[in-house]
Amino acid sequence: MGAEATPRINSALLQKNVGRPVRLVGKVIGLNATHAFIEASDRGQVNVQLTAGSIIRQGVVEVLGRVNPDLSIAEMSSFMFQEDYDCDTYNRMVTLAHSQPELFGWA
Amino acid sequence: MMSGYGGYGGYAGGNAGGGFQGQFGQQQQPHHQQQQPAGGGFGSPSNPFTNTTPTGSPGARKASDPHGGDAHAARGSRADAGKSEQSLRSVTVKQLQSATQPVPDMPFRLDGRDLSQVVLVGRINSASTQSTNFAMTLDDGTGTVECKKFFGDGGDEEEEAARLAQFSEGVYVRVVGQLRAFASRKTLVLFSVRPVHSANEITLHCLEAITMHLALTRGLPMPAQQMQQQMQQPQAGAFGGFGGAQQHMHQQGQQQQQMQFGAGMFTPLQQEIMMLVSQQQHTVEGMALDALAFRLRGRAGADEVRSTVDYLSAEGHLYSTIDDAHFKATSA
Repeated sequence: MGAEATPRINSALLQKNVGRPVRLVGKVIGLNATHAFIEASDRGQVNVQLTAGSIIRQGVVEVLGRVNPDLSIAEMSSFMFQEDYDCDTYNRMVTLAHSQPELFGWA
Repeated sequence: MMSGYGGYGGYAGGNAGGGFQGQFGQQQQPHHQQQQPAGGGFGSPSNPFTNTTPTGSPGARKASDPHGGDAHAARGSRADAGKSEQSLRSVTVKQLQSATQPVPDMPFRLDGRDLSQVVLVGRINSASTQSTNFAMTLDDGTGTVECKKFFGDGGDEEEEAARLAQFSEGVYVRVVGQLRAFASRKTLVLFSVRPVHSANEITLHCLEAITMHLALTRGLPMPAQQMQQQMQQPQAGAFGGFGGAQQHMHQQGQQQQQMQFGAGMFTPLQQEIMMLVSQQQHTVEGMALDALAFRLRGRAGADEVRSTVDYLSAEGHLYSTIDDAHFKATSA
């Protein structure tokens, strides 16, 4: 057991987590060869630098990556969900989870 | 309780599939457990809990079930051992890391309760198939945990191995399993693994974990009590004013739904009160409020005892006897 915690974030939490690996769930609103543009659960936009062999495509994605100083995310790996999701409820869950360090350990 | 701790394939039956049922049912009637556990365990007819015939007619039970007496005794002793209920709890890896095992080979404990089955949602970091089991590392953002699913001995290992092949690195899954310690390393022995298709499952799981944790550590909120305190002075009349509080409860509507949700879960104080009151079941008048407050002095003030008793009455766990200062429990 162990390994670093990877906090779930939205666009507002990027600032707090610069340099750390994070999990971002959101909708892909733009995509090119090198970047994906994700609408996070708080409706803010996040730029993701794609890793080689990235599987990101249209849809709902969870990106695991490190936050760069410029608040973009360097992708490490991603998972595409097959269905849509309720972003407002997810967003409230993220906020709530950050207030429960005993369960999540996200500062 | 049913010992699910010997052997890998066997788990202790119960409500692994269901939502919150397992947590509230202090007494789980054996006849509900129609499902036979997968992979080894309790198929044997000598299990006292599956001996009882369906409770249509007590006569039938007596006639055809020579072990009826044993089943009663077994149920009775299980009710006494009610602390270790069969529950399905949504947790995070971090919580598993902080779960303790006070006695080796006994269940782990978390938030003051035994852990039987747990549910987690996370991504697979690595996975491999061995000859007897499928092993994977699950990462839910709070930490990582080793998981093992042992193949059943029903001769369908190939089928199972093929189904498990879909669970490769990076895949999001929901697992149900039991926490074990193997050579001082915590491992989750899995009962089931299934893919997650929507991020809503993550939302739901995290919220469930938070809810269960808060309910077990803080108890659920008491709107009836708050209504009462706003409405009237805490006096002898407080109990009589209960009708008013109940009206407010109905007006709460949706909020009341949320409160009903946790009706079966007691905070430590509520539990202690229920226990103390139950000790007076044999008397006509039950437990006196003063005596209760006396027993709980130092742990809870008289006002808190009063308001907790009022809440428990409103929820139907206690009822007043000769006057509104004496109570008995509704369930024996």
